[in-house]
Amino acid sequence: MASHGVPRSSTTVRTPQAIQADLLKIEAYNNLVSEVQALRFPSVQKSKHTYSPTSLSTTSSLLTQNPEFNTIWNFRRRIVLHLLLPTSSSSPTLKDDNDQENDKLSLLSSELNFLFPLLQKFPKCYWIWNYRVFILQTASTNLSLQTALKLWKSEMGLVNKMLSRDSRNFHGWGYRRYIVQNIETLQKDINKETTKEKEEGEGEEGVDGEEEEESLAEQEFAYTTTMYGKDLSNFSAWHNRSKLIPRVLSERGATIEERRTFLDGELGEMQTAVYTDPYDQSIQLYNHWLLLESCSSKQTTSTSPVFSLTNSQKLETLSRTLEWMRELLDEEPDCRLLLEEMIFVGSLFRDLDETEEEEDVDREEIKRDMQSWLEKLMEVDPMRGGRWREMQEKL
Amino acid sequence: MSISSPVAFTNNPDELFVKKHVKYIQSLDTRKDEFEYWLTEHLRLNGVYWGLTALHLLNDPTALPRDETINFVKSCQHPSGGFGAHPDHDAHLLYTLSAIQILAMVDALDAVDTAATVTYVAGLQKPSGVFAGDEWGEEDTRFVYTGLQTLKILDRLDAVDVEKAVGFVLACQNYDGGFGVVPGAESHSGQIFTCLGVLSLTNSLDRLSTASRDQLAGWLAQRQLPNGGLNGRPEKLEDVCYSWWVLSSLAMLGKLHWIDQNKLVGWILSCQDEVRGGFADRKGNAVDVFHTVFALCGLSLVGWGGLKEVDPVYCMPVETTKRLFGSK
Ligand SMILES: [Zn+2]
Repeated sequence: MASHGVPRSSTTVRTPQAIQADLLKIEAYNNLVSEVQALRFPSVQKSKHTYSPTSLSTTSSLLTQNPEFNTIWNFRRRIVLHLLLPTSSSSPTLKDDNDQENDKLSLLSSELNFLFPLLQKFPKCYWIWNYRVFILQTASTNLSLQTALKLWKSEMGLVNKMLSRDSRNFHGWGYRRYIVQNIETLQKDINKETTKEKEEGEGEEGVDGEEEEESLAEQEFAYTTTMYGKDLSNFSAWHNRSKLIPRVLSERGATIEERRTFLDGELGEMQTAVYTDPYDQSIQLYNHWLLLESCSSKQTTSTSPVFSLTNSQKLETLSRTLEWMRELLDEEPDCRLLLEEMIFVGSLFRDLDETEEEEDVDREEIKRDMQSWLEKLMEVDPMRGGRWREMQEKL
Repeated sequence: MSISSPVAFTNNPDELFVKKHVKYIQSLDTRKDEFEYWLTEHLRLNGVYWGLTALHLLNDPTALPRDETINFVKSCQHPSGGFGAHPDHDAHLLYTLSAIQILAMVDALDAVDTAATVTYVAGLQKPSGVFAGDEWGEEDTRFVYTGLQTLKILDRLDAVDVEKAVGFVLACQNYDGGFGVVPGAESHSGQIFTCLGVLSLTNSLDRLSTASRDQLAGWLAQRQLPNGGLNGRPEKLEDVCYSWWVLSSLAMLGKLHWIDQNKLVGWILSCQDEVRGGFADRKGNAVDVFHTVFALCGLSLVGWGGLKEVDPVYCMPVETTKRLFGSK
């Protein structure tokens, strides 16, 4: 009903044999659906079977065939929640806490294992990802913090695998940020507990282990470096990098000077990257972010700026950028992305206040250049001519 | 809503196979001997919405029997007020919006318990302003749109905290002007459509600065590839459904003229199955009703002759939104 990338079959009619085979498949599938639906809406006498391990395995068969059937995932959630209740234990004597924790862990782990091959087969199915998140959230509320943390941490292995298979998988990157967030929260809670225990002096030493670093910002920042190292054209990685930088710099306690050095490093990398592939939008967008964040005339009032450049430092950074872009334009005179970026840099420049040291920079010259770049854009990028014409009127 | 004037298609010899598309949509519920039909039960109610919208745009709104349609929608409502994709399926906002849109199009909103629907939708808003898709709590800017559009059609936006919902959407905007699923997530055309939809239907588009609107429209215009088709994110392939997310977003920003509409039309038309009707995601692929409606919406938005006008905010015929909200 909403298919992507499925080739159109050339034959218009199926053979009678093919229809027959389909009918058999349909019958088997519908029998399975009826079986699960009967479990969801049981008659009174059978109702105790609804939330049993057998029900769980019946839904497994159906979901393996059709993971898009979200109602069945919901039913599975209810079964799991029911099986986690202490009263569901068949033995009347209370198990000790440790056994209970182990039972819960083994149930939740087997759920995660069930999902793994499904995610590999259907990496874009929302419902499987949602269900996986549900299991992990359930672990956080049902298991000890340490055990839950272990489960969340092992998700990083899964997400690394997913992203090495498809480095732009939208779900993969969103899932990664979500996992990181949860690991950080759990670690924070654990550290809080450890500190409390130490303060209360109950210190059976070494029992709960050392406090660990709460923030994964540096690790995630390094991951984006690895990812764009493999493929410069990975916008998802550049995007994540732009989101991580403010945190990384503040956690490093970076001074204004150190931030400027960091910025220069990034801008230098971008210069190399744009030279490598001036036709790549991912790189241009990240470069765009760096310049917007550092050289815009508007001071962001709500949050503290990531890079605090003085007006003359901004002007200097922008003219340096324009300089290498002009050189590259000589080699690639028809590159529309480069032309667009140069117009952007030019307009940032013209928005800034003039300074006294600015003798050798001619604002009029930049304006004239911008006009000629726009002319060129209209010639090489007629598709977006409406936009360029509008820009020209505003210039 | 500023939509630039229709383009002249004189230099485009391609044809839209209206009758075949109508037939294709009518045939969808007769395919019970195909396995795919049974595997897609979880999309049945959405499918009715997609098909019905397409038929309205094709100027053949009664090609699906009205009474059957209404009865089917009724059979999908839960006591909670929400709708499932099919009887015996759980309720979700995605289906609830489709149900309400279908009833709005056939002018039969009084056929179901809409007061209960309002309670259901309002109950899914979270303290941050975002909406969960259902009782299990997945949060996504898509659900802010589906929740608010449902309430807007039912004229009950007062049942939720609109300001907080708008605030959440604004927090999802990135430096490239686009919007993601949640704050911090990468920009994506589908999400941009839903976020601009929220801002439009709550009359808060002016909460975005002119600079950020231009930045966003520029990003959207970059989605057009040399063959005329549009992709959903940088360095991805073109797709008919993304053409709609991108195009409707440009329309909401009043910048449809920032892309080459003639080329887009030619590309969309090339995705038709000219023998059996329907549109695919790309030329030569299998057709489905999802891509069929978004292809037609795209063509309608750039003023293809003979198609009814589509409303870029609600993804319903303008005739319907005018009846609901009056002319703006
Ligand atoms: Zn598509």
